[in-house]
Amino acid sequence: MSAPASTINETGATTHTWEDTGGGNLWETTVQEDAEGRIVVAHGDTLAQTIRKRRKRLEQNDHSQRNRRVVRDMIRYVYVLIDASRWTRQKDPVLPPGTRLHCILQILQQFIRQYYDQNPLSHLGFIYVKNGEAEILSPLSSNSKAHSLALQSLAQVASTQTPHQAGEFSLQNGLEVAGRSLGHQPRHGSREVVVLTAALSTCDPGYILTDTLPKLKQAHIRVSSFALSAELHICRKLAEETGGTMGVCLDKAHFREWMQGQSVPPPTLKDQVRELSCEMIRMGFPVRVSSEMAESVHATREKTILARTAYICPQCQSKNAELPVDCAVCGLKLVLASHLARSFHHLFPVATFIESPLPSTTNDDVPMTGIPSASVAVSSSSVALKMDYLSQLDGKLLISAKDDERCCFACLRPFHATAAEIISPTLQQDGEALRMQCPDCQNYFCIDCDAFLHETLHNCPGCLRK
Amino acid sequence: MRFDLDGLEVFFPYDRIYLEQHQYMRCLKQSLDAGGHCLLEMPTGTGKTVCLLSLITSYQYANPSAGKLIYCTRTVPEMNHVMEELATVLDYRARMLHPEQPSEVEISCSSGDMEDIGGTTADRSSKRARKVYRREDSGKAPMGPSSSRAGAGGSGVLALCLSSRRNMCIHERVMAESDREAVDSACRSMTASWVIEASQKKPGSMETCAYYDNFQAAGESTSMPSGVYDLDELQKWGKSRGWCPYYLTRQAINHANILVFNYQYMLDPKVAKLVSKELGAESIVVFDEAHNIDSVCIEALSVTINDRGLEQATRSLGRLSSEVSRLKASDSQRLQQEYQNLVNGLIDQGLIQAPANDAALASNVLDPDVLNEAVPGNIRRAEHFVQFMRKVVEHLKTRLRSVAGPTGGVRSETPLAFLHRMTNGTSLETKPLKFAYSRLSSLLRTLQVSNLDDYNALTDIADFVSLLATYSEGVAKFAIIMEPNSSAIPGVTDPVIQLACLDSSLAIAPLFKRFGSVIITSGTLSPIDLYPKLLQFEPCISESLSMSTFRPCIRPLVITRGSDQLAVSTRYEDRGDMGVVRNYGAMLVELCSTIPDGVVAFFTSYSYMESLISEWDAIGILRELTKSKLVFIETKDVVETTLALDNYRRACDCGRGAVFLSVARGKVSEGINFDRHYGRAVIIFGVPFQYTLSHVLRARLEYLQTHYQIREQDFLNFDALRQASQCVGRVIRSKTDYGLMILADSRYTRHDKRSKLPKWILQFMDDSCINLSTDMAIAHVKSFLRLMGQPVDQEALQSVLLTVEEVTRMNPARPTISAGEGGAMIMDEHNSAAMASSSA
Repeated sequence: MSAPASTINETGATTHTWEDTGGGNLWETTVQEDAEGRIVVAHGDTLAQTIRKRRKRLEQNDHSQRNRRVVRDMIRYVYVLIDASRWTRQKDPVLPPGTRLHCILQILQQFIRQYYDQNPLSHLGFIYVKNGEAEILSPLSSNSKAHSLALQSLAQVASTQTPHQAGEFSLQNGLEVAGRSLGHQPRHGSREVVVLTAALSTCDPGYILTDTLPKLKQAHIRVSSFALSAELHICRKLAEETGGTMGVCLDKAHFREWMQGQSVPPPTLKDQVRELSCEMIRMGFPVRVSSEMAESVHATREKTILARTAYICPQCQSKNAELPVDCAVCGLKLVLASHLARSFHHLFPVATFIESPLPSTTNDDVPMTGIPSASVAVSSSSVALKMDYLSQLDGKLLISAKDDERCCFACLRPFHATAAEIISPTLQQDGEALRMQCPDCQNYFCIDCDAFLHETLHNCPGCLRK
Repeated sequence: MRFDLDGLEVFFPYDRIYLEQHQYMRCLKQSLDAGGHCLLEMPTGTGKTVCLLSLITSYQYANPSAGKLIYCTRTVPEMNHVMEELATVLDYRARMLHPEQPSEVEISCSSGDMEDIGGTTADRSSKRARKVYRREDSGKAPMGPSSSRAGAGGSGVLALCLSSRRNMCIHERVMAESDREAVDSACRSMTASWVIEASQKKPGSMETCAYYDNFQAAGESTSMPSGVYDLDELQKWGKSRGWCPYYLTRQAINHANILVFNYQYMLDPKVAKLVSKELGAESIVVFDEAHNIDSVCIEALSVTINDRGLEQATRSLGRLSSEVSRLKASDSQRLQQEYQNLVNGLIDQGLIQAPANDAALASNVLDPDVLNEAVPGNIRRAEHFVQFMRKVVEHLKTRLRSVAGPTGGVRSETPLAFLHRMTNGTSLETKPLKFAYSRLSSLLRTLQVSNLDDYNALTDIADFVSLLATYSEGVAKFAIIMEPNSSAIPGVTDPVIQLACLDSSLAIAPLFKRFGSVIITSGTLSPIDLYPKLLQFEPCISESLSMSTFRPCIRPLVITRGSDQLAVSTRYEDRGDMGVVRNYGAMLVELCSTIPDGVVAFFTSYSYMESLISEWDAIGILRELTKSKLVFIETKDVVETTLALDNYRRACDCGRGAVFLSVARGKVSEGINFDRHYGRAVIIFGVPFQYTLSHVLRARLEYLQTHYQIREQDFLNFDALRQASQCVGRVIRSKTDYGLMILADSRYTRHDKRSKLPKWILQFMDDSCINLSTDMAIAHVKSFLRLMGQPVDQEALQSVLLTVEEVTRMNPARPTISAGEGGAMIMDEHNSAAMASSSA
């Protein structure tokens, strides 16, 4: 009767990567049996298909892509609820390497940067749950460094603990802690909780649907969840009820993308729009001063440091170390004009480009040969050139045309040459090039520029030119 | 949408339609046209009910000569669901026919369509929203019936549902009664004919039901306006009029176009005599969820007698005889009259119609088999009859005692042999036995007994002997099984005599003969070819439809081995094997720790479940299980199980997660849905064969083998697999839902088992899903759950739904003919309008 005991030990997490038969590795995913039992080597999706899938997913999940011109909350208060229970102390083949918790923390580090980049006026905080208890890891603030350090310390603590010490996950406790803190934040902001969990069951002191949910709804707290293993109904229910989003992890890239989506401010809740149609938010534009001598400057509300540059609050004249920040003395929101501008672009998103297939012309149709090839290295500023087709055919690819359909309006590369090909021309192209069209200005863009325009630049050059 | 299906204009209340719904309707239409019976299997959650209703009502509309639609369901909730769908269908039709009607309904319904496309219940909340709306609607129209407007709008359909008094009564005092029997007898004590008479003679002497009196006072003039009446509506309407809804409905059956009621009203001869006798031969009979119809048929004709019942019967006989002598002293006139009637054979020939409210007793013997003769002389006198029954009961007692005694044991006899011993032992004749039942009911009526429950045991015995005597000749379609131990508890002697019907076609045969079209449909009818054999009929169409999906929303997995590669099975030889026990336990633990929310596990029997659970407890598997899920267990006690289910749902709702351990032939496996998060996975441990050592089953198998050439193994496989697919079918109820179906037994890989699963499950079962070990299955489960957790692609969902244009394209256009048909339809409309005006 010794065997049963060993079985039970095995029923827990798979301890080694090689023991896991999950579809994580290449062999499992590419070599498969077909319907007749023959072994086939399945080619993964082509590049174009992968991109299309991603775009589709983004379209479904991302608020900014789907709806244009919606009222969005520029000022956000977001708590990220980290599941640090036994469920995240396991390894997961789709989230390599290390445990799920490590993966979460790693992606959160990137998220902090993105978040403050996209929402300079907003606050972020972290809560972690283990042993059925929730604790604030770092309180709401606009201090990205403090968050980074807190996450690092959590990672260090976690690596010394065994899964048994981590205990169960408790969604209700986590939400209660987050809710208590968020409830004190100003009403004009969007209050959000982002739950990152791998747990398939939550160990709660009460009944979440009758105890916690009404409170959350009353406080207009939005709960979004991302499940690392499988969809938990309560998470979906909370997300639906509170107007949040729900995601289930496919792989690491998907996780990263989803978190990226969370850095975009969500549309304002409908009932909230009615409730507070207009409210003045006081902000101060501080003056930067620098002195020869290091002076004592407020770093946070509790801590002062010695620094030579400081920002002076226009209201109380106290010195603050960094921007944007709530003044340590009087609590006034101190910002720069550029912060406002950076928040602003969410309100006027670039329209989603529509995929339009390339016209199927071969070289024979286009009189490429007649073009003088040597000297026409055209720079992007000379868009106005009234030449229809200009090309240099030695692979250096410099083409320009005002309304050419064959090259990207932004980067001027022909569509059939992807970035990868330019780097290494020997790479076999997969026969398909994606071309995107702006629905407003009707210009064509390549897929790289599409991503760049939407995710970083937030402007369409074609529309601006008009 | 309104489309043309092979020349029939179909009013389908949703904008879009699934491909299989269209196929389903086409099959239905063909069988209706041919006037034949049909067997149709379509996956659950694809809007079967709405298809049935919209096609048949459209058919009725196009062919006014088509008879009533009789829709048989199994439970009251199902009945309500049907009425709800029916209201939608008829509302839509009325709106289409009379577009000038106010359009507010349209707006609300189309908004419902957005969420609830193609008639499936995509989401329970949207469903509820619609229902709420309808309530408001009926609130506005004070007259009650939910679509009275639709009725006024020309369709003129009266749709009724019928249930027991318990569900329909509106009398305050009676409603307070707890169980069905009490309600029945309370009602009878106020509405029986002699009570009415007495109170008419001397008002106030007896308590009568005001609703019933009003209804009687209104007499034949009572009529119901057309509309769809579900139980609530009937009660409301009855209250507003002061009429008893139960009797009102029973009377209105004759002019209703659509009837919805329980199987029993069609199949159980006792009840069927009251209700469905007068239904026209051109009626269309539908049995929904009919996968167990053969068992229902058999149960309707089987009687079990045990010790307690016989004791009770003796007591009731004593009471009867004292009643008789009392009556003799006080009112011998009445007994004399009964005697005269019997002499003339009036009652049995149906010349004296018993008043509708009294006819509470009717024999189990089927109509055509009843002898149309006068009751034999030796049981005409009441006291003689009591004496006669005493002898019968005494004889049965001795038989029972001999079974339980030391020389006893399980015995199986043919009815003829049993009857022979009975006539020898009691020196009774066979012929009077046949009349035992009708004689008893006549006597009870004469004695004006209102609480018939006290005589239940006696009526059972009378039923037993009547059946026995009637069906003793010819091919033995019954078997008498005598067992010393019927209960599962060892050591307790509880001897029983069972009169087991072996031929499931016996009860349903009259229906096939009487009605033109009988439609048998369910989510799981596979293997479909066995039903015609079992029920002895020729279906003109039998079709199993697959499911059109936009994503593989179910994943059947066949686990044959544990993680240690040891085969798992519940075969009798392997049951006690510790390896199997451990592997099953480990499998459950692992699955429970990878599947979120609710998991349902089915075992093959209560005893197996109990032994397995106690083993698991000993080796610590249960403790491990409780880490990820709360554990609930089904018991034989209904109340306990209901409570467990309730808490299971709560645990799933609040995210704690739960696993429900239940039994494949238990209450939970039938009728209770584990859709959405209530059942992300269903696991079946073993193949749920029937208890093959049961003597009743053995007798039935033998009968099937000799008379219908159905091999024993075939029937057992069929029965086990339909049970298994019934269990796993609980997991999904709509296309946006998803679920895992895990079949854990090495025998499921075998072709003879696997191929018997319904087509819509097989279509998702590719070769990579069979013959898995636990760890491989876990990997499958993980990837499946990840994939299904992604948001539903609305475009893809739309793409599997057909629009009107696509449907018309599917219908090979024959312009001239369809125009002709359309013309004919208009003609029909004119005709009916003309007829209506002339009759008016």
